[in-house]
Amino acid sequence: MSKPPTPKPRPAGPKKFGTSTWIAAAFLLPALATAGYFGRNWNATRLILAREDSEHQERLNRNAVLSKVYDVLQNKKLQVCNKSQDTLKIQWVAAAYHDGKNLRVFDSGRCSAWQEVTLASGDNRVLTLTSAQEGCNWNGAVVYFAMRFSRESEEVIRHYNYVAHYSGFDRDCYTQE
Amino acid sequence: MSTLRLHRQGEAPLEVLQDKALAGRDASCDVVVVDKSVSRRHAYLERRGEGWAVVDQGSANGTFLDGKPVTDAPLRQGQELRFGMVSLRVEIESDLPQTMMMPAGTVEPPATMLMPNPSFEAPPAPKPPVAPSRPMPPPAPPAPQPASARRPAEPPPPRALTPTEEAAAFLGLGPGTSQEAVARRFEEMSSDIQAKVQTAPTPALRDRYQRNLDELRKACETLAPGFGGGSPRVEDLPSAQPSVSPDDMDVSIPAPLRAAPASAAAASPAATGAPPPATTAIGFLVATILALSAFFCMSNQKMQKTYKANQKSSDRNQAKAAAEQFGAMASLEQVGALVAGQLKICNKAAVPVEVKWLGAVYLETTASGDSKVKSYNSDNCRGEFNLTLAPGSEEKIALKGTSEKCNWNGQGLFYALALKDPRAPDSFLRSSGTLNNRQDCVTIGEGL
Repeated sequence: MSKPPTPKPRPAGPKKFGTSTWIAAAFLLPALATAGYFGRNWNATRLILAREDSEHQERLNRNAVLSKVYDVLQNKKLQVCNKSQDTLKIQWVAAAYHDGKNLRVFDSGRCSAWQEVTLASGDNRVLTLTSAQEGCNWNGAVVYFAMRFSRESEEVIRHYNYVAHYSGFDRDCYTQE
Repeated sequence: MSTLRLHRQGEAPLEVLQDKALAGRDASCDVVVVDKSVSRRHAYLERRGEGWAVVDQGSANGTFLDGKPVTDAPLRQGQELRFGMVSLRVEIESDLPQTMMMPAGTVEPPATMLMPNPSFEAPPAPKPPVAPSRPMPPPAPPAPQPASARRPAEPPPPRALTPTEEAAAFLGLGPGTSQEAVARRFEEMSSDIQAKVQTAPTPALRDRYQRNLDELRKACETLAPGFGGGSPRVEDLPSAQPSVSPDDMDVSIPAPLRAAPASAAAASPAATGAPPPATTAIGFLVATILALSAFFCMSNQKMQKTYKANQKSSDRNQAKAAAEQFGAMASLEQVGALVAGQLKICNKAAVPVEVKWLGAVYLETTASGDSKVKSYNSDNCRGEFNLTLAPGSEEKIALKGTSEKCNWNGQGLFYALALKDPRAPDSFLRSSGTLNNRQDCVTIGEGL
């Protein structure tokens, strides 16, 4: 006797999927797209803001260091103002300046074209030297300088050696009174 | 004429009286088989000549004869007829004078039971037809069957019944039944159908039950005009056979709903009002994603406001301006322009060399951490400065004097010195240079 076939199985329990499932699923894709769009924008803004903050902090730190360098290493023009009653004669001058990348030195003692500079009373001059000799073409830029000069009066000649960081003194002038 | 009896073990045999009887779980069926595996309208039992046949009406769990699934098959004595999981033994008697139906047993649900229409009474002998109050349409033709399913020799069609006979058969009453009896019968039969109308899970089923109720009402109206059960809503009159074919019934109900058991349908999310779990999960997911989107959007707006505020911030703008101003100093800072170097003098001359004057620029760090540029000038320490280097000697300069201005440890940024020329005592040899980050020797006296 053959075994009778079993009837078709019936699904048990509530339906797992329905029309509402597909409707909800239809909202899933636009929702994901919206989240992706806003998420990308949010992340981009977040990164920009973080980078701005980081750059600002780094800028502050760098500025703190560079402000010292700037205060010290700012090039100026070496100008001598003779406000004395004597005649000022500059025999030798050395100046350290920067070319934007490195510190350089001008030493008049190494330049054959250098000649003693004489400043009458009340006179002033920016010291420069134009020469084809290497290291002797100098536009007067100075950070530190050293000088040997003399003040000559009718009675006496006095010699001076001077070295300093050039900060302009009086009205951007190394002043002898 | 033959009589069909269906036997189920432990149950009273059931005799089929009509020439065409509908078997199923529904209360409106001619042969009611209460079991979950039996469709509401499962199969027709048809008289064909001297024999009987079973025609499946697209039931969910099928109709079987001796274990084989059938859609349209003749019944024979002793066969096992199975509707779903309910097995019945077929008994056909050919010499009974008339078809009659036996009263129901007393088996109570939920056990599987086989029962005829409730309160069924054997109809009396047919009387001359009574003119109905309204013309009745002919009985609905049977559903068309595929050619392959048709029997080669169709039996002659049964005698057409009058509307009153059809109504009486539909209600299980005699044609001359009083209005009160018809009204009672209507109350009995309509209560169940009305309950189904109220609880129908789908609109299609509700319409179907409503049509059955209308047919019942029309049948009562035909049998006893003005019986008091309300007026029918539709024009066509009822027939002994259901005007809605089981095929239509099955088609009107979605397949998943037909396949689902009644209890499951009742407990389904649609019935309880709760969405399917997948809908809930996806809905929750969508809500979460939308909430995330809202967070992204609002947070982005807030950050953009912060960004704009930063762009306008004077503090930041000053820092930017300063950075541009200090930009040129960056490379100098990198090469250590402000890193002090040690002044070390190496005498390369063959004779001692006297340093007559020494000047230097150096950085002094104050107690507050600030740097201050200072200078050393040996002319300011005339009585204390005395420096002579032996031939070939190397000397790290460190000068100590009585006054503060005469103290210098040799660490500086710039130096300048004047040496007494051994060859001309009245003249000087001068040298200068940077000391920043310098570790090598400042050589003097070369060539002397």
